[in-house]
Amino acid sequence: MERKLLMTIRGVTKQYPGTLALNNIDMDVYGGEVLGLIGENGAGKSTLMKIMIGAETATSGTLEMHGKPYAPHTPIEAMKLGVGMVFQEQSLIMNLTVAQNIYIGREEQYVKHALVDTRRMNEDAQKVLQGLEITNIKSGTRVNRLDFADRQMVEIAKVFDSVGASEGEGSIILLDEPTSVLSEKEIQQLFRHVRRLCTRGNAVIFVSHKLDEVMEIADRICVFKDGCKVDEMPNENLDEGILYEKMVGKTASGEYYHVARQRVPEQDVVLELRKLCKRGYFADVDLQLHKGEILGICGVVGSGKEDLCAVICGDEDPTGGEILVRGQSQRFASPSQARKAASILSVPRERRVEGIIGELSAYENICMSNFDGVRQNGVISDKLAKVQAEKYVQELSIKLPSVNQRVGRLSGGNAQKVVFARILASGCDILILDHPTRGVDVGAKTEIYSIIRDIADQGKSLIVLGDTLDETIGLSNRVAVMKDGEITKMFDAPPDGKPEQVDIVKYMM
Amino acid sequence: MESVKNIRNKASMDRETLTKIFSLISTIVISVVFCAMNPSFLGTKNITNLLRDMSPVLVMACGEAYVLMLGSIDLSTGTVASCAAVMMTVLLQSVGAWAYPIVILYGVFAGTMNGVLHTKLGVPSFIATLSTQAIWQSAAYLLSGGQPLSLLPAAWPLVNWAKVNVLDCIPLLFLAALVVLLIYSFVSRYTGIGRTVKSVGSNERATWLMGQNVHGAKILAFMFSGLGAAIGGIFFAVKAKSGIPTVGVQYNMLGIAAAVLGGVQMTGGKGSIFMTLLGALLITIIQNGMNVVGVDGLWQQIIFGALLLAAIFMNSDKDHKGLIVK
Repeated sequence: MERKLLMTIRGVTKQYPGTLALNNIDMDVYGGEVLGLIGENGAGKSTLMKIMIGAETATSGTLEMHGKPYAPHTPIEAMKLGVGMVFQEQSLIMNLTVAQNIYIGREEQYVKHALVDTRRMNEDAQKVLQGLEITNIKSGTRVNRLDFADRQMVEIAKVFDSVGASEGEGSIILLDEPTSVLSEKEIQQLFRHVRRLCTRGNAVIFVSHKLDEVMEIADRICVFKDGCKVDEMPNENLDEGILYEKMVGKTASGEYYHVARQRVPEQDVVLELRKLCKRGYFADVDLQLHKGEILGICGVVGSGKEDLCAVICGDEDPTGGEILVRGQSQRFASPSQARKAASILSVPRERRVEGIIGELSAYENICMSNFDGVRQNGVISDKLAKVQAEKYVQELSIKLPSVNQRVGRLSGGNAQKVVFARILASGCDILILDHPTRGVDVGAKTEIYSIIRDIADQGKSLIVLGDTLDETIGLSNRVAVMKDGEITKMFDAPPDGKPEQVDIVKYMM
Repeated sequence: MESVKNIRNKASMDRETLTKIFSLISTIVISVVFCAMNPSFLGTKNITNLLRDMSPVLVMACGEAYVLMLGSIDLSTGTVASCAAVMMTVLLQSVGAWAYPIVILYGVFAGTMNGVLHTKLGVPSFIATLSTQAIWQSAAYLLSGGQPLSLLPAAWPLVNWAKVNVLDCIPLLFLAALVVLLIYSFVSRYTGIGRTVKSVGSNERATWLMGQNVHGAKILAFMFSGLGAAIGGIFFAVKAKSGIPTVGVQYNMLGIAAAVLGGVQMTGGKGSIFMTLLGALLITIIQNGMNVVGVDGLWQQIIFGALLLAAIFMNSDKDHKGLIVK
């Protein structure tokens, strides 16, 4: 089959002061293919995508689309030319309906007598959704009523439809980490849509940290490292090891999760849940967490694992049952009480909105969960806070110009390490890690796994909701599987006998 | 070629510095202008006057700054101050010096009530304080019988301290206001709950999950605002030896303006309590100076409003993120 060339990128370079984000990139995008882009954070793939959708301009180099020079100045212009992007952080407007979001900025087509014909718009939006086999979402629903995964599907539908408007010529759709919040089933659904789009002569560029997904969907894979395209290969006879090696320039050891450092937990039970319930989310959860143990919880989105963790860390209230901390029954009305009374603290899932205070500096963030640690003569001392921060910056090798750096400006991996520094500084010994490596590049991931092992070595206990099943199994001493709000199975996961993914998935579905 | 992002960063940094020095520069420029127009503006006598006039603005502004730091707003400080002034006048005549602690407690109560309404009942601060603002206005009228009250000469010894000047030019009243400012500033910078106020303004959800007492911090901020307003009311009463039931009304907005001019952002999370000093100074200089150089009273508010707009423009969030006042 002859492939039609959609876009050519020649010699694109992007120079930021101090860093060369992209160095002389050549790349072709063909109609009908899925092009996988992989690379660590900061490897340049986001910058390239921003240039492709007109959010940034290249310092030098040229882009051509359908043989014509292509230099959009805004994402809207790019969309009109047939290039659209599904953002990692969602860009939907929460208090508008699904249909309004899909047609945002394009309402003119529905204007009748100066008013928007909502009914026709809803009908068309429903057709768009149906075209993507999304049947569980009504186009008239307000977006804030949908759960996270559904919102992602709306986001995808919106971009698919926006660039589809110029269909026939072949459009390009960029997917940036589209699967991070989707369940396995939804991922498969997404992949089906992606393939169908490609058969119509469109191209999809798929960016993900999850190498297995990229290998599953991509026809061709480009590897980025330090602003350069280090390799480009058809997706044949590849395995994760090869890709990993090209991405980080070293071989991926089997020691990815530092399994050898897994320790046998002590006998003392630090946290026990007895028949814990939250109506509508989970019921009758019995669980024991030992000193120095890493307990993984698996389950699909909606299995209740997130809600269980929210209840344990005091963010939400249970409707029944008991939480025993070191043998004593406790109830917390807020994370503040959980931290002070039971020494429980969480690493939240949505780092930017829940884990850090972007406006504040790194040192201020690090002391936020324990002001007592930085007091001098009873008052908070910035000097001590900075000394403390310097210590953690060294220990966790956080890359920042100074501890005065605003955390909002740090990359995902470094911001997450600041969160871990704060958790360590808090002195809490029961830690809930909700997706601790979400949006973190491969290099920083192993470092975070190592930090997690260190924490367990200190005799602290952790509950981990992994970003992937593999991660949860790799890290944990035991793995609890949740389904429909109940714990369906508990697996032991000693270093020499990790349970198989397939066995666990059986209890999840 | 420089990246767009970095140019933006630089611009925003420049703007931050600009905002910080804006009040200082404008204070100096305006002082020089007023002084050129009438040299007695910088005379000892006028400076004493100026500092005395500034005292109630300052205490009310640094309380308000706490609430603004949260990203909330307190619309009740003006009438709390009025009510406090009336209470002060009444109580000085009946219970003597006990009036001071009682009115201070009243301020704590009024502020805490706002805080509780906002946090526990989930009423937006704008609405909660708008309601209590009306309540305290009525209370002030009822207490005073709807008229300005004069303090009887028998109670004058209790308020004469307000006339004392240290070193012949610094009013004791101003020093009292400065002490309040320093305490407020200290709490904001050196205590956990004070820091929590600021971080709630930046990111309430994260602060909550970090295990900080978000509700406590909010209630504290409103309490400080009420307390500052009541102290402002005391100042009005002892300065003028009278309790006027509308005395504080325009000071509500002046307090907000002073805090914003001092660099506190209305969206919360930014600024410092101490810099409120500069904001209050600037506002008082404009008001006082316009009188000294004889600006037509009918024009004063136009000039005042324009200057305020300029200051708030410098201070506004031009990244268009999180513009809504909670």
